[in-house]
Amino acid sequence: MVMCCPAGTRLAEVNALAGEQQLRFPLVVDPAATLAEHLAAVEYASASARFGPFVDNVLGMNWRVPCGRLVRIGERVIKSATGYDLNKFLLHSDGRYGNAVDLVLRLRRRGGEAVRCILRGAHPAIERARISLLRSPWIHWIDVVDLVVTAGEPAFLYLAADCGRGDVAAFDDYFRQLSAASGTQLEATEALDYSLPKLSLKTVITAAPPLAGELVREHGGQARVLCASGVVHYLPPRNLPLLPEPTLRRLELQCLEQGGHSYGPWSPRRDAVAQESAWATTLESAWNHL
Amino acid sequence: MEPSVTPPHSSAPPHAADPLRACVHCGLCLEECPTYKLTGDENNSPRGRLLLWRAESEGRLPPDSWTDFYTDECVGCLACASSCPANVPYEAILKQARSTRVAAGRTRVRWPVALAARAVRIPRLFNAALLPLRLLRRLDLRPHPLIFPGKPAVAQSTADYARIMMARHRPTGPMVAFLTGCLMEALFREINFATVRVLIENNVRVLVPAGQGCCGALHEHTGLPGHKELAAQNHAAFAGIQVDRVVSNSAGCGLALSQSLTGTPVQDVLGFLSEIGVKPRTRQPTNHRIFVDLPCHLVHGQRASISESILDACGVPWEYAPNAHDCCGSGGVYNLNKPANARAILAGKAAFLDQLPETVSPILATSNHVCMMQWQTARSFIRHPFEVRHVIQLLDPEAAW
Amino acid sequence: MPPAERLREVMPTGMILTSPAQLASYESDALGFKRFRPDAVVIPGCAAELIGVVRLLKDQAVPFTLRGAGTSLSGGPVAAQGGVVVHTSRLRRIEKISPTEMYALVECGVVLQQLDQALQPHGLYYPPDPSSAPSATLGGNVATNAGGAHCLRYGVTSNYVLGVEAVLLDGSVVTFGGPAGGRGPYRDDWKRLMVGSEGTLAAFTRLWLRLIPQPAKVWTFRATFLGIEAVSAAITHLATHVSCPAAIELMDPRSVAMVENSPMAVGLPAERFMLLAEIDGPAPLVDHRVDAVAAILRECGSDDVAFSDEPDIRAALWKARKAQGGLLGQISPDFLVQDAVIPKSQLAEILQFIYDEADRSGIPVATVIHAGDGNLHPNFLFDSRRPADVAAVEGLSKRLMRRVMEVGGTLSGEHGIGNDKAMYMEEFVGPAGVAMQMAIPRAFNPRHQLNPEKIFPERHFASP
Repeated sequence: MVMCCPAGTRLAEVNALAGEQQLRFPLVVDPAATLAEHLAAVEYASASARFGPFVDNVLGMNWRVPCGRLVRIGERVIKSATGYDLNKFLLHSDGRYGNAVDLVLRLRRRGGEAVRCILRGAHPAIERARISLLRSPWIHWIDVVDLVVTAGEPAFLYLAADCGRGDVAAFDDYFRQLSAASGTQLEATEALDYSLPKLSLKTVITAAPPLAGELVREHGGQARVLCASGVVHYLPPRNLPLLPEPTLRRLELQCLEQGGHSYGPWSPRRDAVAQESAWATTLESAWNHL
Repeated sequence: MEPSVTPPHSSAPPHAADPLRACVHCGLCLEECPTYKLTGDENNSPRGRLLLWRAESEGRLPPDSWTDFYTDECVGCLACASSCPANVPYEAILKQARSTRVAAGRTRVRWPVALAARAVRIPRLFNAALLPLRLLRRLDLRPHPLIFPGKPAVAQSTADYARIMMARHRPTGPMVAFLTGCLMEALFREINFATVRVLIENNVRVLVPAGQGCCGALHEHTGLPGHKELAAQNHAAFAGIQVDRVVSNSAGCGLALSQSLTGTPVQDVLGFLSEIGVKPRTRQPTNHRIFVDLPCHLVHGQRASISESILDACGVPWEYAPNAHDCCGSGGVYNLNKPANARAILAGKAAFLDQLPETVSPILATSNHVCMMQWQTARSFIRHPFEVRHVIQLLDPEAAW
Repeated sequence: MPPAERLREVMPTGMILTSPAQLASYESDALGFKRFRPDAVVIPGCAAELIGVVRLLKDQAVPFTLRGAGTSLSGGPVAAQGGVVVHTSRLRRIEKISPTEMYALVECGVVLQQLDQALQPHGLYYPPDPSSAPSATLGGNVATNAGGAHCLRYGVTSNYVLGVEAVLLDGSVVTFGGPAGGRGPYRDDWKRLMVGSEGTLAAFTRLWLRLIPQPAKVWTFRATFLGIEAVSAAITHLATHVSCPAAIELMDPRSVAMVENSPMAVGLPAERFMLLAEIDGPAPLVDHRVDAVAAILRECGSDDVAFSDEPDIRAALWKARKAQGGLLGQISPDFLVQDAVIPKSQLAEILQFIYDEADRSGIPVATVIHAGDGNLHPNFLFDSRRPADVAAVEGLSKRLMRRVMEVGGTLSGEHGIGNDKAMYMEEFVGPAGVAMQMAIPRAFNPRHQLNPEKIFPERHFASP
């Protein structure tokens, strides 16, 4: 259940190929974007709720170091304790140590049925639903638990799961129970269209929803909270070319305090501190003279 | 392709010749071991001790006082044996290691223990020697923190008492032979009397075979000589008589006796009572609550427990004490030989008592007198008042509380 | 060696062991026959003392090695080059369990089972479950990226490490990540290199671990199969089944025979593969899949399918699998277990290869397999007192490793490389791979003072 493909492959193509074997690569934000574009913009996708971040789903790579040499990194099997984990270290290293040429993806079974719903309601009701779901064993079976916060609209919770035909009724029951218990309104929905965010914030799971609310309240646009991952994906309004640098720094600092960080095209450039700079230089110089 | 499933080499024969080599060094015993958890020193763990003994026996390690130290440090709770996937016969190996060390003069047993080990071999002498202590207990005076309260008969023996009770009540049910024990008989005789009463109340015929002696556990724990002779003595006293069961009210004594009496079924008295069913006590509601601690030699030695039906029959709300399967640090005479370790182990187990609401009057109940003595010492550092009882005392028709 | 007074100064409540009989227990991990006696063992009494000891040792011309419970199987936490073993057994404080943020903060010496028990009342779950869970420390788990039977569905240790606090060889105490599991103040994600680094980069002091809700309901299935084809088909079907099994474990006929010829026999038919599978989840999802899973096992050729959701019966179904490891000690003076991972499709071929090679070498072998992820544990049984046996096992291991590489597998799935498999690393990663990999200790531990001769044999400590 692995697939090797060039980093320039679009996620739609990946899933078309995998689908022939009744398999899928679930970490998709924008099917039209390539793997490389995903890796540069995000470390998590909605389906990370069930399958974890990209680092847990990319098993190996052909990696081109800056000197041009191609090196095999990681594995073609789904489990490894062999040597230092360069694969996870390099995957989102932003071009500093080279670039992925090909990727070995871990695939998952395709259930064939999709169940999706939206839960709407007042803030406390949405919060009840979110918290209840994160503490429920159902979380292991639900691909998407996203809180979607859009300027000028009430926030809602978007849930989606890939499942077998025989499971649809059980999911529907669960969604109904969750909605009733939390006091939210349940709506059926089609898959939401997503595109790659400009900014991605990684923090603890309780801090992510307020961070998303603050961003949208102050700057408009849309923020999606990947609730189980503690990640906020921010899509600015069309007329916003960039968030002000101090805002970006402040947001990042909030994440940093919890051992999180910001990522993606708008993430403020961060210089290595002296200690880190020494480690990075050692790696760069070794890897540039292979 | 079909792999050839049958190995050309049938599995190599078990190397029973050297039980020390059965340990695969997996380490699953570590967290079961009270002294490893206490010290964090791997030498002070079952795996560590086995390795030291094996290295010494294979000549890779010269005899070393540290090996003797770690051999002495073991409480002998046998929790490691319960968790061992390789079934290493730890108890037998430990006994062997200790007795060879004592015989070779590598380990010195403290004189009061050595003296006691000699004295218990002559029950009449031991009973006479401890008469003053029985008297003090009878008068509610306790000369040592290990001695828990109770009012033993000073002169009347359990054998005499059992004869009188049998004649008075004439039970008709199954017949048991009762091991009265050395220290139990000499000092804590009231528990033996309670045992007789509970058995007879439940229609059990009680026989106290003459000529029985100490079970020999003390000698095995310490490595002192004498166990063989005692085993032979008890074999002579018990093996020939026709009874349904040999019973003991002390988990450690029961284990040692069962190893002496091959072929004769030895059982803990509480296990036997739970099999035949026991008359429940009904009591007025009180603020007592029973916390049951399981003796290691019952759980890990005899691989038995105290059944819920027995505890329900006590007529007082009960629950298992936290970590009831872990050792209390008593270890026979371990609390005399290694008082600091024993106290630290007990302190961890007993801490829950201080967390109880003040309105609760806890009774710490177990089924081994050495564990009772150990728990009694916790009264010096636990603020919440509590009593220590043998479970059989909680079933006693004449119980005074 | 640092003078004892200096050591006592930095660890007033710790222990220092130096007598031969005190060092003996630290000669090996659970790979018992490879022995390296350290020159000293220190047992810090708390995290501050651990930091003090590392700072003291780094300035001495002595190699040192961190050790958790020493339950590893690849010769990782041993003094391969002598020096000092730093035992973390007393750093066992669970500092925080956060049910709202879903993480735990633990000291490196906290035992996996201790964490499991502490999580129970919160309904939380930390999934990695190596067989050594009753004793193994979380520091050791993180250092080896431990797996276990249930990592098929829930992932291995690296999927659950949010942050690592560590003492580095420049004496600094750093935090890589934290409750949020990101990078913290650093530009790069250094914790990714710390996980699985086998104690060669830093001394871990505290760990932030991600927690998930407990799966509500568990069903265990046990089935026996006559042939490898049949059992392979069953594994493939299960691995892609809608129930997403949490574990798929396999015991080969030789292991089954070993259990059945022992006092631990559970009455399995002889000369058969035994497959164990577990499915879990909320009852409405999992209960109605039970018949389908049983049907797969039967359709693939098992006439002997047992399953249950009762804890006692489930434990009985697992019994043979759990007994297997310990039995090795009863039938063989020594054993060596390999840990290769192969693509599942190669299972039959590699198993035959193991049998052929082992039979030719005269070495009995019993194999258990985390079949869902292709992680093989062939146990080679031998007597380390016979040099010919040792040579045969080494040759056998080497040929197996070559074959594993040829089919696209890896050397170790969950035990780590240690010093036992270090000799295969160069062949496995190639010269460029060695250069890539060796850059990492060069950045953090350039003189290889920390845990030398592990992962790569050329990681040799040379005092300045």
